[in-house]
Amino acid sequence: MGSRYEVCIIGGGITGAGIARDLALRGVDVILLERGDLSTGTTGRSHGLLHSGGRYVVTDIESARQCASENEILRKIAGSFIHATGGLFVSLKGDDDSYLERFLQGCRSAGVKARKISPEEALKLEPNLSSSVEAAVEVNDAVADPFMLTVANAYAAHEEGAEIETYARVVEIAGEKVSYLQNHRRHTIKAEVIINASGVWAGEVAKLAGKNIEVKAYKGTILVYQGRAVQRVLNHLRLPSQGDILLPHQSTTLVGTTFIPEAKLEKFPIAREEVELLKREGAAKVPLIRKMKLIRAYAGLRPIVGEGKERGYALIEDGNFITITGGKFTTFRLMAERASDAACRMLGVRARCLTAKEPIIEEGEDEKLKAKLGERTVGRLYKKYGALTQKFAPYAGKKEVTCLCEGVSEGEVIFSAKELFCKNIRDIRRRTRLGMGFCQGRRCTLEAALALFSEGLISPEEAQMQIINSLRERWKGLIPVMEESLKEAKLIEATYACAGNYDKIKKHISGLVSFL
Amino acid sequence: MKLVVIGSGIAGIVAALRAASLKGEVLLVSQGKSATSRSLGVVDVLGYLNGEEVKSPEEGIKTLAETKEEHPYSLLGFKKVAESLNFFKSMAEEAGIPFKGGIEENIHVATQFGTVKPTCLALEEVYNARVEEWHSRAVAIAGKEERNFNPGFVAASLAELLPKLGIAQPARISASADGYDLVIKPLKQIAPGEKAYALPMLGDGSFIAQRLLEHAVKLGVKVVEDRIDRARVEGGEVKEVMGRESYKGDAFILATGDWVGGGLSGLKEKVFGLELLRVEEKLVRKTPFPEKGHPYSRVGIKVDESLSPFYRGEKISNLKVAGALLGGYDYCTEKSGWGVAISSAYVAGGMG
Repeated sequence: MGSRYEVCIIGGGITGAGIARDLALRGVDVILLERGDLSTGTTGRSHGLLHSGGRYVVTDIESARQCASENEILRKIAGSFIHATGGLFVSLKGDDDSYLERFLQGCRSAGVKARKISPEEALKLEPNLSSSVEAAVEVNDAVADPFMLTVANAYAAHEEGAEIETYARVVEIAGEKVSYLQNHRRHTIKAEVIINASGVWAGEVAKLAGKNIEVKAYKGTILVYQGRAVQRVLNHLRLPSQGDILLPHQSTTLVGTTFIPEAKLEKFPIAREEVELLKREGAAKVPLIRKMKLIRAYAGLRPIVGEGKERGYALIEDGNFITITGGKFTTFRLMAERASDAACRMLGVRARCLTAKEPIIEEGEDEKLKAKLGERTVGRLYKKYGALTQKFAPYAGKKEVTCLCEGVSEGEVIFSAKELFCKNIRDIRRRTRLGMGFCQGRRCTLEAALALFSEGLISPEEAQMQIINSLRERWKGLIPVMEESLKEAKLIEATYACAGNYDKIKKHISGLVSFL
Repeated sequence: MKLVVIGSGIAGIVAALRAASLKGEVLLVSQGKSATSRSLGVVDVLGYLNGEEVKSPEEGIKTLAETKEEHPYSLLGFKKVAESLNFFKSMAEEAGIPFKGGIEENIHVATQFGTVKPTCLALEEVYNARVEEWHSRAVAIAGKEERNFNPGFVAASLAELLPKLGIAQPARISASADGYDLVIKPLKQIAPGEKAYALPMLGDGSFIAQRLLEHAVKLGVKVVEDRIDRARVEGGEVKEVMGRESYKGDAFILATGDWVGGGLSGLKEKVFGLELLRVEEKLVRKTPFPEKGHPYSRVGIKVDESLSPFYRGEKISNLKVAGALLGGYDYCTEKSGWGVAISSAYVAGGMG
C-alpha cells in the first residue's frame, strides 16, 4: 500500500464511490476514505428512487433535466442494479388541479418523458391506489438499491486499482497531507488533489483543510412497510411537499419523505409527528398501507447548497481542494464526472470520462452458477447483487438460510464479508438485506455472527460485540415506530437479554471496532 | 366449579395443573404457539435485583417484597412462590421431565450465545451441566452444528468470558461439532464415569410445555384450540369468553402473555381491555439492552393480591391473571420469567 496518491476522495457515499470509479477508469491513482461503511451517510438513507425528473419540473428545471438524462444513462450502465419499475404522478380529490398543466409543460421543456393517463388506467396499473385519484401521469421512475449501487461503483473502482478504505475517519488535512484514523491507528497519506465528497458533512471536512463551505441539512424520514403495496413509484402530483412518494423496494414498501431543516449532523431523531404525517400521506394515496405492518423508520440528511429548495449540486475548487456536494442520488454520476474533470485539470490528466458509456460491472450469463443453484435462485441473487452475482460462485455451496425474513443464505453472508468491503454484520446487512425484514434481526443476528466465526473471520469477542452493535442499530429504527413494534422489540429483548443475558454481559466485552 | 384457562404457555399450563390437582373441572383454551415455545425452558426465578446479581432467589424475593410493592412476587409473598416451585417440580417429575434446583440458590448455565446466565431450576440434564460444576474439570461441548448453535463458538466464547464474569475457569474447554456419536460415545467408553449433559437451547420450552400439557390432560384437563378475543362481563363477573366458540365457566384465568404471547396489542389488553399498570409516555430506552431495562417491560395488567384485574375501576372477582401479562416486573432484566409465571399461575389456579 503506497502512501502517495494523485487523488484522495473523502466520503464513501454514492458520489465518492462514483468519483473513485470515474478517476480509476481514467488511470488516476486514487484512494477513497470513508469514516464508516460505504453508503452510510445520506446515500444509504435515501429511498433509492431514480427520479424521472418529474418531481422537479416545476420548481427546479435544471435538476429535472439532469435527472432525466442521468436516469437514461444509469439504466444503460447499471441496468442490473436498477429495477425499472416505472412511476406514476397522481393527484387526489382536493388537490390543486391547475398543477397538472404546469407539470406537463415542465416535463416537455425539461425533456422528461411523461404520458397522461386516465384515473381508470392508473387504477388498473396500481390497484391499491386510492379511488379518489383524479389525474395521473406515467413517467420513467426507477428504483435502485443505494447500498449496492455504491458498492458496485467501489468494486469497479477497486478492480481498476483504486484503494477503498472504510472506517477511516479523516482527522487532519494540511496541503497535500491527509491523516486518518482507522482501527485506532493514525495513518498519513499524500495526495496531489483532495476531493471532498462528504455531502452534508462537506462543511466539516472543509474546516479540517481550513476552508469555509456552507451546506444546509434537511432531514428526510422514510417509513418501511412489510410487503409491496405498489409495483411502481407513486409520486403525489403537486408542488413538492412532504410524504409525496411511495415506492417498492425489494420485499418492502417505502413511504417518504419529510423535509425538515436540521442543525445537528450526527444525531437527528425521528419525531412521532413525522411518522404520523407519513402514515397519513401514504394512506391518502394507498389506503392499504393502513393495514400493512410498519417495520421501521429511518432518516437521512440531504445536503442543500444555495438558497431555496433547489436540488442542484455545487462544485467548488479551492487550490488543490475540490468540494462536490448537494445534488441527488439520481445525479451522482454527473457530479462524479464534473468533480473528476476538475481533478484531472489540476493533475494535467487528459483522459476523458468513460462512466456514461462503460457498464459499471460487465454483465454476463453465468451458466455454471445457474447449473449449481438453479435459475430461480440466481434470479433472486441478481435482484440484490446485480451483475456482482457473477462473483458469487465460490460461495454458492453454503446454502443454509441465515436470514429467514429476507431469504439470505450463509453463502451470501460470507460472499459480502469477503468481496464487498464489509467489516461487520451491519455492513453485511446493507449488502444482503440480512435482518431488514419483519423480525428486524432477532432470528439472524446470532446466526450471522456464527457464520462469520465458523469462517474464521471473527473472534468470539468480536462476534459478541457485533451482535450487540447490530441489534443496537436495528433498535434505533424501531424506536420511532415502537407503538407498532412492541412485539418485535420484546422478542429481540426476550431472545438476547432474557435468554442470552446480553444486558448483563455487555460490560464484560471491550468496545472494539472489529475488522474482518 | 368450572375453570376456564385462556393461554397455553407455561403460566396457563401450570394454572390448569394446579386446578386439576385440586380436582377442579378445567378447560384450557390454547391458541397454538406461545412465547414459552421459543424459550430456553429453564425456570428463572430471580437472577438480578436492581442490576446486581442475586445469589439466592429466596433472599432476593424477601428484599423485593419490602421495596417493590407492585411486583408480582410482592403480591404473592415468598411462601407461595416457594410452594409453587415445589409444585412445579412434582408436576414435572410426574410428567417424566424432572427439574432440579431450589429457591435457596441460583445456578449458572451456558447458552448457545456463548454467554452465561443465572437461573434457578432446570431440567436434570441441564442442571447437571451448570457452570459451577466445571471448575477444575475438563469440559467438552459437543453437538451438531446448527444455524444458531456452534459448539466451537460456545467453547471459545466461554474461555474468554468466564474469568470476566468472576467464574472459575475449568481445566480445559474443548469443542466438537461432530456431536454425540463422535465425542460423547467414545468418551463414555474410555471413561464410563463421565456424563453427557445438555445446554439449554432456544425452543426447549416447547417440548417442556408439551409434556406438561400432556400430563394436565392425564389429570383431566380438557384442551381446545381457539383464539379468544372477547368476553361477556356482567355485574363484575365474567360469564363467558368467546373466540370461534363461546366458553362459559365459574372462574377464569387469563394467561395470554405480553406482546410476544399476544395478550397485549399496542397498549391494550386484547380480550377484556383490562386496566394496565405503568403505562409511561416513553416506552423504550435508546439501546436494546439497557441495564435498568425498558419502561415497557413493566407495563401489564394491574391486579390485587388475589390476582384479580380491574376494568374501568372495578374489580373482576372471578378472573385472575397469570404470567407475562402481569405488570410491575421485568422478566428480561430480572431473569424472572418462568418464576413469576409459575408462582402466579399456581396461586391463580388454586383459587378454589
